[in-house]
Amino acid sequence: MRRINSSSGISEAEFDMVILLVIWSPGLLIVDHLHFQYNGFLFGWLLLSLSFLAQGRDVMGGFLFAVLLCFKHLFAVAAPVYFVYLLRHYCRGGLVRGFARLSVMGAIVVAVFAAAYGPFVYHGQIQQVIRRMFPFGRGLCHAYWAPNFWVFYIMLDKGIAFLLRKFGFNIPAPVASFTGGLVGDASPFAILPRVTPLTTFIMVLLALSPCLFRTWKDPRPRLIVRSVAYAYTCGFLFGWHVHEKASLHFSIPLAIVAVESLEDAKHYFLLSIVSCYSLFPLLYEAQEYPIKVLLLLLHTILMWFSFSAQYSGSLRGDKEGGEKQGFEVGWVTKSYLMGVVVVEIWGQFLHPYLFGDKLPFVPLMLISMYCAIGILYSWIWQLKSILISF
Amino acid sequence: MKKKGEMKKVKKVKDKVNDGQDDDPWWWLVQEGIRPSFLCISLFALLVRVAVGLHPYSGARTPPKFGDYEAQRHWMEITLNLPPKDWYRNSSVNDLSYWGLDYPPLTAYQSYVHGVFLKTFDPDSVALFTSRGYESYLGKLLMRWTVLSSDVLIFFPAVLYFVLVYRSMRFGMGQNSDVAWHIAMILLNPCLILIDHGHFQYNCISLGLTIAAIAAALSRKDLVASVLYCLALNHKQMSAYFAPAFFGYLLGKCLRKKNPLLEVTKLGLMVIGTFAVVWWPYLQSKDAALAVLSRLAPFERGIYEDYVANFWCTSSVLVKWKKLYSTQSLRIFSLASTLITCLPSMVQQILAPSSKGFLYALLNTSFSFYLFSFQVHEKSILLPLLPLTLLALEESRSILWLTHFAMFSMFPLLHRDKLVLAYMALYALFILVYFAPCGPSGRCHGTKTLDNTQKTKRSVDFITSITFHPLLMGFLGLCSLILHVIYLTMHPPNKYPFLFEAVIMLICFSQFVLFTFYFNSKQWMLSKHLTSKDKQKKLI
Repeated sequence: MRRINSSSGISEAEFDMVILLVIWSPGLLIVDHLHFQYNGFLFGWLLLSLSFLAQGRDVMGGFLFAVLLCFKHLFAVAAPVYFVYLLRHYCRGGLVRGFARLSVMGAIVVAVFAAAYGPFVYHGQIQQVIRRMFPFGRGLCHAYWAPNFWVFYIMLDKGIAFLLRKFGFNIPAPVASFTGGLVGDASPFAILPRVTPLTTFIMVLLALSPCLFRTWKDPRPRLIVRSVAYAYTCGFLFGWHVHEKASLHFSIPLAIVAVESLEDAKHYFLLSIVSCYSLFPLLYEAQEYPIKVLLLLLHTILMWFSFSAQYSGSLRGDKEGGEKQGFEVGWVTKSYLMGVVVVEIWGQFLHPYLFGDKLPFVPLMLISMYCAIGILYSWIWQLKSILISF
Repeated sequence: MKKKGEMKKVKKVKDKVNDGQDDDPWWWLVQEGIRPSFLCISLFALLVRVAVGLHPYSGARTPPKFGDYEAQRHWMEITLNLPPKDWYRNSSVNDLSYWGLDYPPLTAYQSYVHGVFLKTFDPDSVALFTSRGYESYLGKLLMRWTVLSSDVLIFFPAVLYFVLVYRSMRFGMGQNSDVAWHIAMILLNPCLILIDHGHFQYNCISLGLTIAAIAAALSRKDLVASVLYCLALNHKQMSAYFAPAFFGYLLGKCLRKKNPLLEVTKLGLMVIGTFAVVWWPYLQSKDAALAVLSRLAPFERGIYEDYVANFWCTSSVLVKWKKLYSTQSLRIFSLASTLITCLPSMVQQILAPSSKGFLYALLNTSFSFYLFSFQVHEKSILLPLLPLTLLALEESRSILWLTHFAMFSMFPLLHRDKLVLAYMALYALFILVYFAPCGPSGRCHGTKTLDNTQKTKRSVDFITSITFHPLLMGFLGLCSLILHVIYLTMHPPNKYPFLFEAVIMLICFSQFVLFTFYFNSKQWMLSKHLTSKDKQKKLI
């Protein structure tokens, strides 16, 4: 992290702030230390790899990323970006030299994969490994829908079916379910066309393409972190069977660039609150409730304090000659965040009070949809910033 | 559920407007003012408390008697289902030998309120008779939340009040970020968190009321202070540890006013009035009042129980008090020794009341009560620790050292409650916060010499050099570390099954006695400083 930040020239205090935002990121704490996974360790690898790339040390960056892929293949969503970036940035300097470097890089990656998968190939288990790693037998969505694009698609399908039924059309209820596997030819959708893993793959690549084009034309080390974060956002929004934990993949790299400008800070403020809130249903026990609420509140307040302090008028004003812009969020953001509180109150208190045990999926659906709006906004914002900054 | 031990929070910073970022890493926390930084630190403190609450409580799953948790639950059951006049009386429905109420009526009222809360969500937990030994997930959750709510409603606002008053007292001295460090020292006091949210008690209420009383007294609202302190007394009779200090300070202030007798009468009326309001159901007859009083002072339990680091228990290694003397004579001994040891401090305050002297007086009287009083528990170390945390900025070395020994003296108790993980995590957290960069811990290493008189300076220096002698501290630190490990891993010999507890008790007692001398000398040095200042004024 120090490498990334020294290359972008931020001060010591801002660096401390970045550490605060990342280590104390409530999402990471909730998922790793409460729900129990080892993402902290993996994100360390990712950040290390990104830091080497930002410094211009492409071989190390590529090597670390290959190792990371062998730990958790979910990180492969950013592989196209890495590939294009390394191709354009590292494999330069004429045809011969470029080709030589390409073979060096290729050899490293192949060696890493061989070391990881070699034993399984040797024992003939590789088929099993691949089947376990890519369970396309599962449905489009997890039991609790991750707040991504498909939430809207599903709701649109159900909405249209409901309206058409009201108007008297005979729409058969779908046989398959969203969370179950692909049952033969049956589609879980009533009206809209069916979505297959291939469709999601193509959509992710389509969403990634602006970033890939830009990286091809102008591979800059400074912007690699944003590009990778954008890649993970696309993967999250359009992927197959996405788990809401995957929102960590883009919120943590974005924490590092959040200190670079006021706009970044505002965007990160909203994004981290939304992605942390979307993780709430992971912790459903009553005794964990105060913990997750307090973690989110504490993170919000710390972000508010640190960003306000960094962007208060008296400081930035001296540097940029008169531009006194404090850290403020607009009324849209404020009302959206109020909406988060409303959704939570509804889900926790009003819904059980009014409906008891009926319609138990409604609060979760509400959380998914509401967070999906925020994440969609983040995607559009990131796309815009990539197109502009390049 | 693991408790998070690492943190890099509470940073401190200079609040100078233009070079804020360059000098200190904590300026962003305190630049908005005290209240926002208090909010931030208290959210973190609340998170720590919730996390500790996930651990077991005292007496978990140990029938037939269980522990303090069961006692509190039983009191909710009794106060909810019986009329007030039966709460302290032994009857067929209220068996006093099974965790009878032994705190004053305010605890009973508080139990009633919490009982109503529990009844709304889990009526089985407070049903008469059938809920004895009731343990469930929801019950534990609700009980933990009652402690949390008491903390938030009473303790935290009291601390904010105190910090604001204290800051105005020290105006001009120190840095803004010191306030944040001070708040963290008070709110993240590991002993209080472990006892209240782990072992399970409601010390936050009486200690919170005491802090509010102290703050009111320091800001010259004496009547409010006396009312608040009486409420604290009526919640737990152990708050009487502070009574001589309050008495001395308020009396000293009254004597300096224009019409001392009127002031004293006003205070007396407030005290009597508060007691009358709280004890109202028990003032109907002499029997009722006596029944409550006999529950509050259980002399039949003997001068000490278990292994607590006070004089009677420690010296019983050599002098078998319980065998040599009767309970009656031991009562007189303890009363006499307590009064004699707290007398210097009280007299000093009557003669020369001052804000800082008041805080030191609280510390000294509570220590003398802890060391010499009748039936002291290990948990009572919380009482001397409270004024010490309030004095954290003055006594930055003492607070580290004494918190270590206070925790150490409670270690056997916490080990029985299976709170060792929480103990270690909170201890580490305390150390991290204490040694946070650019904080007061790095700065004032010497005692603040407040006056010029050479003689007193020399005597205090002498005591300070013994108390904070590096070799001694190093040796004791190493001993305590070794003892921790021994206690956890080895079994004591069969002939002396409580050997380890006794050794722990000896070490802690030695340090408590040493520091009592140290703090007493500091309090007297304060008064010498004041009198010399008065003399200088007279000369001018």
